[in-house]
Amino acid sequence: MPLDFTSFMPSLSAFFHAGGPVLLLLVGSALVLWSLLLERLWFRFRTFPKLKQACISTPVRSQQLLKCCDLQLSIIATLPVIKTLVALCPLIGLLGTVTGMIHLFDIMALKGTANPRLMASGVAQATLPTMAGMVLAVSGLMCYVWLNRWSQLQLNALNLLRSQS
Amino acid sequence: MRQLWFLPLSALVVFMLFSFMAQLAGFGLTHEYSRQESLSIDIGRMRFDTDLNIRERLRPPPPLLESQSTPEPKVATPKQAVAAGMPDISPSVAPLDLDIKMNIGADLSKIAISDLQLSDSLELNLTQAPITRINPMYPRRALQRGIEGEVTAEFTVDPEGQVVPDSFKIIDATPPGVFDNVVKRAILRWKFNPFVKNGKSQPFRTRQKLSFKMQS
Repeated sequence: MPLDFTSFMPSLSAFFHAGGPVLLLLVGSALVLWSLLLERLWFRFRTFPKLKQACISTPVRSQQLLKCCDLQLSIIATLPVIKTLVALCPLIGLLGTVTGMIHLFDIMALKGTANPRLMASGVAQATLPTMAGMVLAVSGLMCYVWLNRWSQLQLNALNLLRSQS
Repeated sequence: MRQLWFLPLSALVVFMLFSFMAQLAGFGLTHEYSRQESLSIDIGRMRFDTDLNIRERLRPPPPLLESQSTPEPKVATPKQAVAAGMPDISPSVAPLDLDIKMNIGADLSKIAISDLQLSDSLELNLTQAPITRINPMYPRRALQRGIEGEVTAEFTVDPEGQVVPDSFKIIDATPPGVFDNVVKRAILRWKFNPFVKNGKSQPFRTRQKLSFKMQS
């Protein structure tokens, strides 16, 4: 499937139109999740090396310990929130599934099963948020797992640094 | 809150993710709907002659011969021996009166003659249209040989609008003898509007021209 950049905007509007209100909820949670993740990545590549360097090169032992503890705290700052949001994304998607199904059954109660085109809107409302939740959870989880492993390594290294005396 | 600084960047990421999802769900594809040509349905009364269904009849199984324990008493009456295979004429029936027979014959001949005269005296009436046309079947022999032709038939229609079978005549046929039988079979099943004259429906004589053309 070739990605056509000119057709993104109309396709996106159609996507949100078909997905229903739960998709907007997912967009909000995705915005929060990715701003946290990007901040963590920025910290990991830009802020942390400087701080660690400063921590190691501190001559005074007590100040070094202080900086070490600060650094350890700042490493794991928002990781639990990220974990919660990643776990929340598929659940919001499931919420979309259920509401879409309710919508579908309403249509069926009104019009019967004779009109598949009407039923298709309910089915789209049920499936699209589910898919969006899955995609967000997968992409967020990959970044989170990578950051988590890195943070564990750094915490161990800082623990070693603290215990050297 | 340093995280707020990353909101635009995260908005870009989320936009790309959702665009990817829309592509996955097939929303970026432009469907070209081909307009179907509208079907036109003509409802008319068209009946076709059908092929004969030849049913093969199975011979019934021969009856089981019971073992005849007691031989039948043979009645050999001379009368039966003489009249073997002939209808048994009971003597109680009186012989038919010859005069009566002759009278009946004369009546029959009179009727037949009057009928013939009537059919000859009828004028051709080509204005009456058939109510029910039944198209003749194209003869298989002519189909195989690619023969086309025309047949003109003349016949009498009785007061009820039915075609009188004995009055059917082939006036003109090209090529002769190929389509005559099918035309007769078909036309004998046609029905006509009764021809009303002086408030009474009259028999009339009419002609029909049927042309046989191959559909290439």
